Amino acid sequence: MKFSVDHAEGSQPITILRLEGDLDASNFETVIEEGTRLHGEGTSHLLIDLRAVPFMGSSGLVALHSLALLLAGGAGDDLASGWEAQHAIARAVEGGMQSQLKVLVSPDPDSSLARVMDRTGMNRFIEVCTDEATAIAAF
Amino acid sequence: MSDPRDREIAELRETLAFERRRLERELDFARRIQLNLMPAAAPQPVGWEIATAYRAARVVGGDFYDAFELPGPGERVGLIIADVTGKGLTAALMMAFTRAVHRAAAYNGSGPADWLERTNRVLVRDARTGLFVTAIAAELEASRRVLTYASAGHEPAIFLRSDTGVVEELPAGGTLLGLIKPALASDREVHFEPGDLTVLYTDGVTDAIDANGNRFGPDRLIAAVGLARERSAADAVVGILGAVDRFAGSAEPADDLTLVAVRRLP
Repeated sequence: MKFSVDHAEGSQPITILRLEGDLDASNFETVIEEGTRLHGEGTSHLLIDLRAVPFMGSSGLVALHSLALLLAGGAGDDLASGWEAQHAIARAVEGGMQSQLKVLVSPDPDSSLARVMDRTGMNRFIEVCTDEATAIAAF
Repeated sequence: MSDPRDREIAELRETLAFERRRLERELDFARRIQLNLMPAAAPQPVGWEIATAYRAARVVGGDFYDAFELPGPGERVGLIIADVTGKGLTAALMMAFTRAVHRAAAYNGSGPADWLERTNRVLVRDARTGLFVTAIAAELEASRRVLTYASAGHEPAIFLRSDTGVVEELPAGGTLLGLIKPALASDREVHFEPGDLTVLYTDGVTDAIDANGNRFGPDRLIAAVGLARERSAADAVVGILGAVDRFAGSAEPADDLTLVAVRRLP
């Protein structure tokens, strides 16, 4: 898995984290670490570009979810953050689509990533875009 | 007289070895508990076969299946196959919790979609772990020859029509358990003719990797199910496992692998 980082200006500063390579159980934690590092440096709105990710396993969903919660002011999926923090996140999740993380996937209708996001319902929680300019404008 | 530092290093090594043995014993114990949570044998209603397989990629895994007789009239069997996102001990703990919640939901609920919704409510509210569960729950009504199923973000079941040999993915729907309420699961029915077979599986099957990094994928799985025409449910499971093993070769499995096959006898 390779990372690169870009920045864009929408209605607010947006960090674009571009991933390259399969995203699965072997490396999803490194994606969380990279997103956490960016958050620590001040990122509050994150676009994750998955167009160069040919395969995403269910562990990839955990990475996306964890970073979405982190940006929403939670503590990611760090169990050490405590039960109360986790319940606070729960209330945020029950609010539906979160606003500070979006993902960018290939516009190919056969894109396996778009299908995974749709099949699992993760697209009810994280907005999935197929065009970078539209994604940036959507923040 | 030996150097005190050598003695200290030797003691530390002994302590580390002891701790490692203790952890290995605990993990082995956890593995046996987990395996015991799976049914020793699936119910076999008259005129039907149910076969299963389970392999954990690590000592303990996040996949599970369950097969159990449902209370009430008629010969009815409850089924679930599920995959907890994430791996290792945390996924295994979540698996044990989810299995228990789902079994209780099935004993008290009104059908697979209701079971999944009840399970989801508990996971969203009380098990905020950052882990999710994909699942297919199903109810086999032997006398009606109908399998009612509902999906929560899981890989679609594969269905083999015995008379034509056509293999198809059954429509699914619903969202991951533990993410958001409601899970939007809905009941669907599939009618079995004699010899028809359905296979439920986890992504350890389709995500198996060969030495070149290629994935087994749904197309190879569909082909493997197609070869199971006129075979027993147990032979179908063995055939699929064999296809995955031949494909993966010596590559280390990256994920747990679970199969449940349901067949109406000819």
